[in-house]
Amino acid sequence: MDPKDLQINLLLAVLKEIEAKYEYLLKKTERLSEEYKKHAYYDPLTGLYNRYSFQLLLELKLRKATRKNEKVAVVFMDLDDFKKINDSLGHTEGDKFLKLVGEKLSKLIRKEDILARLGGDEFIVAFSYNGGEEKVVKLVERIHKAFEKPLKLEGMTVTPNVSIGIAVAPMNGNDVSTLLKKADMAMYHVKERGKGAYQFFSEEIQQKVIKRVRIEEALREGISSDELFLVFQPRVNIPDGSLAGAEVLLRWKSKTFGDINPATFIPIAEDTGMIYKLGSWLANKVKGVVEQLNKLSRRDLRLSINVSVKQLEKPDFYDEFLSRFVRSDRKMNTAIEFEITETLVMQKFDEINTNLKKLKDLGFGLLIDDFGSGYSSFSRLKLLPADGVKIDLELIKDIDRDEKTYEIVKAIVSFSKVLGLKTIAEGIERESQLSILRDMGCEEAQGFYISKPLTEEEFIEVIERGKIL
Amino acid sequence: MKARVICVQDKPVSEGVKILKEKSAGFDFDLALVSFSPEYNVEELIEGFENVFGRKDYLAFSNILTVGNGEICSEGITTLLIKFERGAKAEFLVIEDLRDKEPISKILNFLSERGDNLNFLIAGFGNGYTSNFIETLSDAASKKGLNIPLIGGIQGDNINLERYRTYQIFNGRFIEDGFTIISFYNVNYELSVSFGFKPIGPEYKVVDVVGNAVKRIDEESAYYLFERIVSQLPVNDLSPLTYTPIILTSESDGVVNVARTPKKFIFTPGHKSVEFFGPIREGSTFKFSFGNDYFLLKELEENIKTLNFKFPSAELMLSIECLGRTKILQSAVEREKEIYKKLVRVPLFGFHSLGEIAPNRYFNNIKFYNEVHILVALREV
Repeated sequence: MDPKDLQINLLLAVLKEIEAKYEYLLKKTERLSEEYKKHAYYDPLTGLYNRYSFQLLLELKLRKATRKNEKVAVVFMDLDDFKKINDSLGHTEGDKFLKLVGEKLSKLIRKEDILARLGGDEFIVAFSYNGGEEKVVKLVERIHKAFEKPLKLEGMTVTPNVSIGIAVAPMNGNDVSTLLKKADMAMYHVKERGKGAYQFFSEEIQQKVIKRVRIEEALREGISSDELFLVFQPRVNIPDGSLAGAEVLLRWKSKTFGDINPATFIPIAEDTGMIYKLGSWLANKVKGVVEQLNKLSRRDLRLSINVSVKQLEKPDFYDEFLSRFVRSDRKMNTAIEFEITETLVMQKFDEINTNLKKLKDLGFGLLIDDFGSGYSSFSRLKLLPADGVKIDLELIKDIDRDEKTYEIVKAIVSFSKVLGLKTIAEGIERESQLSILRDMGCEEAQGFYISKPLTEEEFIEVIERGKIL
Repeated sequence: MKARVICVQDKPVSEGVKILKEKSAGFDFDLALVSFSPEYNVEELIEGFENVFGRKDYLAFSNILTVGNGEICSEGITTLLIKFERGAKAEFLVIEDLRDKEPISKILNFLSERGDNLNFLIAGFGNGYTSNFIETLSDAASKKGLNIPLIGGIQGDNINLERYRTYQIFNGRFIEDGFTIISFYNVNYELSVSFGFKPIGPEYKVVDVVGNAVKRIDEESAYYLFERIVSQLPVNDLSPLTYTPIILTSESDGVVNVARTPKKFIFTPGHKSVEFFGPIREGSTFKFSFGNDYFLLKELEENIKTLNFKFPSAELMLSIECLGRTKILQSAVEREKEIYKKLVRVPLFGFHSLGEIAPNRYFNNIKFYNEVHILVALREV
C-alpha cells in the first residue's frame, strides 16, 4: 500500500476508534446523569421515591384532588423494632429487610399511588379516593395482612410489624407539610399504645401530642430546677416488724402541671433521652442516702429502685445508668436493689438477661416486681439471677377475703422458698393481710398500713427510731 | 571551532574507510564522532578507523540513518571531526553496561560536575532498557535535587527488526549497547525541539503497565484497542502507528508534548499488551495524535529559523531525529534536505534515533521523548 494511503487509512481507523470512544463516553455520561437523577428523586436502597420527590408528587396529587373533589390519604408507616434487626443482624441485613419491605409495599398499591421511603424505617403512601374512610382502612389492613408473612433474612425469618398513622386531605389539612406532620402524629400515637396498629389523625391526638410536647419541655426544666424529688416507701421484716429498707419512688411536682405521675413522665424521659440525666440525678440522690445508712450503721437496709425494660434493653445501660450507682467498695452496692416488672422481664428475657447478669455481678440486688400479675415461666424464673419477688398488690388486696387468692399467694411464697427467692408483699392495708402473710412465711412487706411513702428526712428519722410498726 | 562532516554512502567498509581517509586528510582534529551502518563488520571498521585516524580516541557508533550536512545517509559512514580553537575540549564518560557498577551515581556525579557543559548522549537501545534507565536517572536526579543537562538520543536501527543492533567503538574497543556522554567544555549552545504532531480525540487512561508494555487502557485491554485499529490496515503489526503516536497528556512538563510510539504487540500465554518505544507510567493519560509531512516540516523549518536568529554565530549543529519521523516524511525527506541546505549554514551532523533525550520545560531535569527532532547549535566560547 502506498504510504500516503496507509497514512489516510490509519487516520480513518484512529478516528473510528475515537468516534467509538466518544460514543462510549456519551453513553457513560448519560448513564451517570440518569444515576444522578435517580439519586435526586429516588431512594437508592429501595428504588422507591425519596422524601423530596414524595413531597413534589403529593403536592401535585393534592392539587388534582382539589379540582376533582377527591380526598387524599397520607399513610405514614414506621417499622416496629427495626433497630433490633440492624443491631442483631447487621446493617447489610437491615438494608435487605428495608428493600424487601419496599418490594412488598409496591405490590399493595396502585400505579397512580405514591409510595416512598422517607428515610430509616419510615415508608409512606399517598393515594386519592372518593367516599368513606373504609377505602383507607382496606389498604391499611392489606398492609398489615401482607406483613403477617415473615420475610427471609440471612437464614432466619423476621415478621415485620408496622405502626401506621393516617392523615386525610382536605379534612386534616391541604398542604404537604401539615399532612405529613399529622400522619406522623397519628403514627406516634400508635407506637405509644403498643405498636402494630393504625390510627387516623384526630384533634384528640393532636391535643395529646401537644400536651406531651409541653410535658417534655417542662420535664427538661424540672430536672434542672429541682422539681423532682424522691420518696421512700418503707419495707419491714414481717416476723419482727423491723425496718428492712424502702422502695425509692420518683416524684415530680411540676410548676406548670402540678403532680405528674411517673407512668406519664418516665416514658417521655425514655423517648427523649432525658432518662440518662434523670438516672444520673437519681444515682446521686440514692448514693447520698446509702452513705447516711452507712453512717447510721444500717448496712443491712436495702433501697430498691424501679428500672424499666427500655433502660435495660439499651446496650449502653451500664455506661449511662448502672455505672453511676457503682461504688468502689463493692459491699456498698448490696444496699441497692433494682426492681423490674414480671411481665416485661418474661417478655424480654433474652434481650435483657446480659444486663441483669452484669447488675448481679456488680453486687446489686434484683427483685421481680408485680409478681403474680403476669405469666411467669418457672424455667425462666429459675434462670433469672433474681434475689426476690414482690407479690403484686392486686393479689395481696384480697388475700384475707378470697380463698383462691389466698392459695395463690401461699403457692408463690412456697415455690419462691424452693427457688431461694425472698418474698415481699406489696400494698398492705390491714393487719389481717400482714398476719396471713406472717403465717405463710412471707419475709417482707410494704404498704400504707406499714407506712405511707416518706420524705428523705422522715425516712432517716424512722431509721434512727429503729422500728416502724 | 572548526568542524568537518564527511558522509560516505553505499560503500563496503574497506572502500568507505578509504574515501573517509581521503576526505579527512589534512584535517587536524581533537574529536572524532563516527556513525556507521549496523550492517558493517565491526572488526573491519576498528582496523580501518585506526588506519584513517592513526589514533584510538574516537567514538564510533552504529546507526541506520545519519545526517551529514544536508544529506541523509544510509548504509555508510558519516564522520564529524572537530578542531577546537579557543580552549574548548571534550571529555567522555562511557558506560559499557547500564545494569552494572552503579551507573546512576556515576552519571549523576559526572553531570553535576559538568553542569555548564554541553553534555551530548549517544546511547545504545539496550533492548528497550535504556529508555527506562533515562527515567530512573531523571527520578534519581530529582530526588537529589540535581540539575542534569543532557541532550541526546538512542541509536537507531531498522525498526522492523526484532533485536536492534546498536554498537559503539571507543578506544578501539567494541561495546554492545554503550551509553556514552560527550561533555563539551567551553562551548555555548542553543537547543530546539520539534514535534509537529497534533493531539486528537478524547483522553484515555493507562491503568495497568509493566515497564514499557501497557496492559490495560481505561476499561479494556490495550492489546484489543490497538488491534482494532491495526485490523483496518493491510498490515498486522504496529509499525504504521508511528504516524499516530500517543501524546502523554499527563506529562505536561515536556519542552514539547511527550509522545510514545507503539513498538509491538506482546502476546504470550496469560499476557497481552502493547509495548512502546519508551516508558509509560501507570495512571498516565494520553490522546492519540496525528502528524504528516506538512506539520512536521513546518515546525522544523520554523525552529531552525528561530535557532539561527537566536544563535547566529553557531559553528556546528547537531541533530537527533526520531526514526519514526522519517517514516512519516517518506518522499518529503527531500524537502527536509532542502530545508537543511537552505537554512543550516554550518556543518550539520546527526543521527536518527529510537528515542530522544532533552531537558524538561523547566530545564532542571531530563525527559525521554519519542517522535521529536532535536537540534543543538553550538559554538566554542
